[in-house]
Amino acid sequence: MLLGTGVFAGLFVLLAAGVALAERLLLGTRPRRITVNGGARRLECPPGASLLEALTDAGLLLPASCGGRGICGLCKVKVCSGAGGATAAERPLLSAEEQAEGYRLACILRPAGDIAVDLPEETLAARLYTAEVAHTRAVTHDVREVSLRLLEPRGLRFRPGQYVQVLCPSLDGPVFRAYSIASPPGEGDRIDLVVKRVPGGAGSSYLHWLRPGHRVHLAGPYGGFRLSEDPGVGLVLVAGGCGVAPVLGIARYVAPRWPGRRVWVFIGVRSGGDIAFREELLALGRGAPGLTVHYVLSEPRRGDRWAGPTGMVHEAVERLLPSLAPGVEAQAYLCGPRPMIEATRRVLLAKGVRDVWADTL
Amino acid sequence: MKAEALAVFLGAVFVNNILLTRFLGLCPYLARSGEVETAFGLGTAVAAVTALATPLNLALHRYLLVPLGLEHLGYLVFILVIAALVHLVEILLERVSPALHAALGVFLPLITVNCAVFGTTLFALDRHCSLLSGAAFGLGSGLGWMLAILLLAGLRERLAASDVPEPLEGVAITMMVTGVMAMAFAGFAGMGG
Repeated sequence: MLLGTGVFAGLFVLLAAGVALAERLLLGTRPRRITVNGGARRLECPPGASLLEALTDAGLLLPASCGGRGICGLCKVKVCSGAGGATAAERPLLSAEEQAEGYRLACILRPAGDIAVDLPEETLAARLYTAEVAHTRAVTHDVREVSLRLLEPRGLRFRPGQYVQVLCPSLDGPVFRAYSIASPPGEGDRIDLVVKRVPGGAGSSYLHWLRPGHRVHLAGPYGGFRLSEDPGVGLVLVAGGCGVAPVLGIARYVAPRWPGRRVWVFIGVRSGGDIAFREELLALGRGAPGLTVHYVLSEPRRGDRWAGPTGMVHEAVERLLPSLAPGVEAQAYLCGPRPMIEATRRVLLAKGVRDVWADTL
Repeated sequence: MKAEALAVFLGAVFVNNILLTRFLGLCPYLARSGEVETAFGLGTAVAAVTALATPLNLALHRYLLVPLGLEHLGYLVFILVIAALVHLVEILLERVSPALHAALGVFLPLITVNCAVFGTTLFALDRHCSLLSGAAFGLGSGLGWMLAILLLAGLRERLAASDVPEPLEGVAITMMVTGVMAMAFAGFAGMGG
């Protein structure tokens, strides 16, 4: 018994020492230096740790709604020097242009030496907030609106179309899930989220379960869309599926501010039961003559008695959006699944809208 | 002696292919056989660990455990050796090819519990292999596993572009393809080994 334990322990120590020696020889023990935005921040990354872990430890909260498992692709970072090209695991989540510019996923990249990265300004400004659920309500059979009141720190400064990440419990521990802000900026400590239930989804199950008084933690704001403040610039807002939240936020911000500004809203849903916020958007349109709202049903049911446009949302944009006259500028914001974004982007380009920003769901 | 080792090696690759005749190591085989490139990386890692672990475990068993009367510790010691080797391969891969290291993800440390690796050691013990033929058996078995996953990855790259009936998509068609490959490999039965 004693002999067996001794032999086993001896072998264990011997092998562990061998592995530790190999690790020291092959990987080194010096922490890697990370230079952010040309020296604005400098931090260290222990050997073997991912860039995302190092940035998070330093308080730089990158969006990462899959919990750093290389699935969501939100944590993309432009690496200026010190890392090779994107790996097979990253390529499906990065466009060809992004790969050419040196973008990598921070959750996959484990720096082998010192590196320099460029982070967007809003990432440097993102903070962790604690909020309380003020109220929730069912919008459709699978969509809930969740209103949050910020407790600590107070006041979240964000631009219309931006999103936050809510910390949600899951079987793998807490994970961040991204949700667009549906309320306009400037409502004090209140932000509204619109959440579509995804069967088995950690984030939507949690947010649908929340009731007034519950505490939540969120990080943000994120998202690079910059709304043109020039009322002469037309606005095309296209949402597919649960992409309605940011579009609603932008419309709520724009309509009272510039009632005459040309704004076209297209919202694609499956059938009549999925239509959300229609009354509110139509009411906004009555107060703002420049605002046109189209709901597009891809699979209308007989009971819907739907007389409006049907088909895919990009087809409706093609049919119903007037081509831009020469000299007229327009900006577009798209939010939805990737195929919808790609198809709509092509339609908009053909119509002369060049300034297109898209958030992929 | 050398001829015997060669026969054992060829037998382990083709005739007694650890995956296609024993169906060991199926989990990573199914999970990482989508692309030939990744399959090649995982196959190499498994082959390296099997080739190193088998003779090392045989030697430990023969020269340490048996003389001390500690055969009952065999399984524990073997797993320990395999775990250490997997960690070594992982460090080496991270150093040599960070891209492949990232692509293999969790399946790299999981080689530790790949039953093809452990099974090879046990089969070698069972056959009372000499150290040389044990090494040949380990290498052959690992390369056989690699051959199987490469064959499947090649087929799956083609399957991705073909019209598979919906109920058979994914694991179902992969298992059927594996079954057909296993039948083809059964044709080697009786040839040496």
